[in-house]
Amino acid sequence: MAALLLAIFIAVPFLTQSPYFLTIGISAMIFTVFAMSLNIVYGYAGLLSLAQVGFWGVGSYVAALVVTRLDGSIWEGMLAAAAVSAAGGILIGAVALRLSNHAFVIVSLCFTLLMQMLAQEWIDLTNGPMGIPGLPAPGIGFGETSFVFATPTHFFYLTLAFATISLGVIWLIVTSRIGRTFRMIKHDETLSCSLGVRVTVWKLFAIALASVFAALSGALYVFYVTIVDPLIFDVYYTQVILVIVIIGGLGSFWPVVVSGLLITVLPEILRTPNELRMISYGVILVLAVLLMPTGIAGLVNKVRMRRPMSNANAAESST
Amino acid sequence: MMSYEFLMQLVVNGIVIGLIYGLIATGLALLFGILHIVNFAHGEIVMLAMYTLAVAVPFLGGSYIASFALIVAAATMIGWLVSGALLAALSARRGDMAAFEKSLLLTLGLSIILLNGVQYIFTATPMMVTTDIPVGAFLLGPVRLSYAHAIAGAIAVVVFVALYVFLTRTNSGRALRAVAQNREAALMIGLDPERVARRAITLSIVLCAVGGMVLVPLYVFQPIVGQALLLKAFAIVIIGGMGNVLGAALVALALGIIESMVGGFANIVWQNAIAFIGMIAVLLIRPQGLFALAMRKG
Amino acid sequence: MLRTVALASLAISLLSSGAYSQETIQIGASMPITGPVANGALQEKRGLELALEEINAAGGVLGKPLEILYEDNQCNPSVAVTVTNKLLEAGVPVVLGQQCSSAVLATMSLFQRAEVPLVSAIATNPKISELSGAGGNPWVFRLNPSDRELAIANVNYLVSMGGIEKIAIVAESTDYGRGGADAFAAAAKEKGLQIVSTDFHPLGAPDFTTIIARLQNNGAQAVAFYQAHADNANFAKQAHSMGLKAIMTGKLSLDGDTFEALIKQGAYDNAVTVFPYSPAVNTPENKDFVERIQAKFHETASYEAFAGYESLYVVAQAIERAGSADPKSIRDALEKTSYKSMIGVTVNFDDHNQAHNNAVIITIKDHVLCVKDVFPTK
Repeated sequence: MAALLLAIFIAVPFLTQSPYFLTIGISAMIFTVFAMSLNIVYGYAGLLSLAQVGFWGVGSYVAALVVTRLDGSIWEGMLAAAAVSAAGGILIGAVALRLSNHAFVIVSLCFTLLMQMLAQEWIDLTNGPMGIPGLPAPGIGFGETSFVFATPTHFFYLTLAFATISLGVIWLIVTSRIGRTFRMIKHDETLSCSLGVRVTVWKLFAIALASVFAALSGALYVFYVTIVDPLIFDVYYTQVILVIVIIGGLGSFWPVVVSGLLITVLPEILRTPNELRMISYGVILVLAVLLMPTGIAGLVNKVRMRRPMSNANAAESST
Repeated sequence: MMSYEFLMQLVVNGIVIGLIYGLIATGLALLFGILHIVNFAHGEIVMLAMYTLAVAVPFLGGSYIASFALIVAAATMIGWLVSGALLAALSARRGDMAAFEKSLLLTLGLSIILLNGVQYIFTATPMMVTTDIPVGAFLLGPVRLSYAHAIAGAIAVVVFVALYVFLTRTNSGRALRAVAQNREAALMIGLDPERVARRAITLSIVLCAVGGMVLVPLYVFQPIVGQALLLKAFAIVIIGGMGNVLGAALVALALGIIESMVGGFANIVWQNAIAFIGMIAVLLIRPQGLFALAMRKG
Repeated sequence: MLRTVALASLAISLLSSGAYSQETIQIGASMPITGPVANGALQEKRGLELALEEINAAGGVLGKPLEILYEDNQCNPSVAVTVTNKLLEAGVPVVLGQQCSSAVLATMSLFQRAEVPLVSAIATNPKISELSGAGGNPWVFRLNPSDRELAIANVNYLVSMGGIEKIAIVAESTDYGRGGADAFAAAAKEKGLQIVSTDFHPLGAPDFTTIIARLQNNGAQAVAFYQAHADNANFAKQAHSMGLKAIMTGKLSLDGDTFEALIKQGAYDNAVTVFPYSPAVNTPENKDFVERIQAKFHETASYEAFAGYESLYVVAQAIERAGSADPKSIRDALEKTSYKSMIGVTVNFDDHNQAHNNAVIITIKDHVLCVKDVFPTK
């Protein structure tokens, strides 16, 4: 699956040079990583977080500010974005997890709103609603020679590398003992506790991990669009990643990757007008919650269950 | 610069806005208190009522009160129907989502549909509704109160008194409170939980609709108007204690007044920050809310 | 699935290159079709559509009909960047609009990089012309006067009225609002007027009661506004019902049904504004334009309709002069623009690519709008 997807994506720029289609590919990959970050904290660890967009926005602003104010490179910016978001995630988590999981949802939403308000009102730092335009294209320098990812094709491969590494790391984590611990906590917190699992620490780890990937994908995204403004905190992004994760199937890996690519690419191909696209996201969300809350992963499992147990290791690889 | 008149003016303005926040926030508090669910489409219901009023007023010869009464009746009916559908959706056993999570995702989806649907029909061009409420203001002691503010405030007060009477003096109202206070005990004494739940949802929708409609003569509005109001309502409900209706009403009133003061004496940009700062403070210091007895572990 | 993407891409690019480029000249237009300034885009579109209809009825440009590709920038800088890229990727040789200052400022560098001209006809932030033309971005042109010129005229008129010493500023928190507020404050300081307060509010704020209460109390005799039209209508309505005495001034758009109703109610009584356009400007061409807009859209012409209409004519004439729909030639031709505006001046671009059309001083007395003066902004 991984090799196939990777091969297809490597091939895309050979098939089309159209910046329009490369842009769709780039945003599909970025949103898939972004959605996967929600999947870590919500799908695997069971914490419905509306703060992912907050971290994605904080990451974008931190990276943009490191580059424009401190003359750092985008890589330093992304590093700073990841660090700030992880610290922020642990802080929010530490406060919110003292309460119930319900309160966590609301606190996570409020975090996002607060960040949006800061972006809008703290004019001296963020330039407010006017945003920070003109972000430079990322580049790599090796001594004398340097390379700038200026064209859409270059950026496409940069994003592909980012998505491959990020998803690879996430896959390694969620299929390891850590992933199983997340799922155990989600499944039965009390039991996990009594088995000696330090539930809060693990939850904080999930939140921090998720916030790092949200921040990195946000940072890369704004350097592609070359501007960041308070709209980066828009509830639209929350809706998109929620739809991706739920359609894919909470706590599943490959189905979420597939749904991420589908949900971002399809509306572009169909050239749906903005409002109708949003309405269809809403309808998809409602229908998915009502009719198939386990998403694509659930369907796939159901089909597998009907067949004899011939394919046990395939089922393993789909999670 | 600081005068008694100015202070009183800010207080009166704040009271009116606070009362309107109260209408919207109590609806949210009711849902949480009785059903333990959250409604992300709450703001969109407010918005929908505003647009419906905007459409109805010209049809009814510009009459604000006639349109108002008609929409309250319609909201009650629609609320009752919606409540049935919502409860059925929440109780359907598919997957392992809890009711709270399900309600959140469902109403989030609904809010996207309503917001973009209205935007598609009416566009985002701001809507200003001319009603038969006279333009202008009258003097209330040292304070100028516009007729629109006065009517909004009066309607809100009437609704709150009615709500109070309903919750404390009628059997169905007492049933609502009983379920909110102790669900198990209420079931044991034979209250029908579904009926209570449907009443709560309907009541919440009607409160929302009223909150929206009293805003119409005060605001020029766009489809996104509900989002900002929802966020304030969330903050109010958390500060007041999730599910505490009286707490929500009091916090709403206080928030209206404080916002008005802050806007009057400090920078206007701080106005919208008050609700969030208050909420964060409450979450840090008294997470169960100012008026809550105890936070239920969810 | 991705193979289908690639195939579809081929199909669509073949389709689009085959179907259009031979027959029409496509012009990009980015404007806030939705969002708090949507009405401005609606009005601008009316002007563009009217001009398009006339130009194409007269045989088009270089023998080909014009076609406008609209994109919605939502008056937001990041959305503007996205849709501008879309237009540039579609290969339009020139783009009209953006309308909002923040959107222009955020996208100016994109036009320079793509070497495609942008003709801005509504955005007023003074920075735009400072950054354009000689020593800056040669690809951005502005047809309308900047807020600096309008603010100076505005302050001069207020001073000439006598008796006004204390002024408050209310502006939206965008490049338009902040640019306008700065320009007004500078002009006021020059004339020794005192600014008693400056309030910035978010675009699309629903309620101004608090600001109004403050203005009633801080001694402001006039309030200068730099707000989106809808916000200003809302403010006027609330200020009127609360009985705010201060004179309204700054940039007030007073055209269209909403404002006509408010003026009739007396919400704008004693207002003074310096504005780039008024349908009441008494030239035969403008009267005729107002009639055509009224006949086609059943509403009075507004500034945006006027700006859209003239910007398309300016661009069409540039393409005609260039002799080809090539971005570089269009840019060079734009520099040599000499267009007779409907409000009386022949428009040329200076070395900052800034045109100096007339502006209008408008006052409102006893519910009636009156054009006091039409003057050049040079």
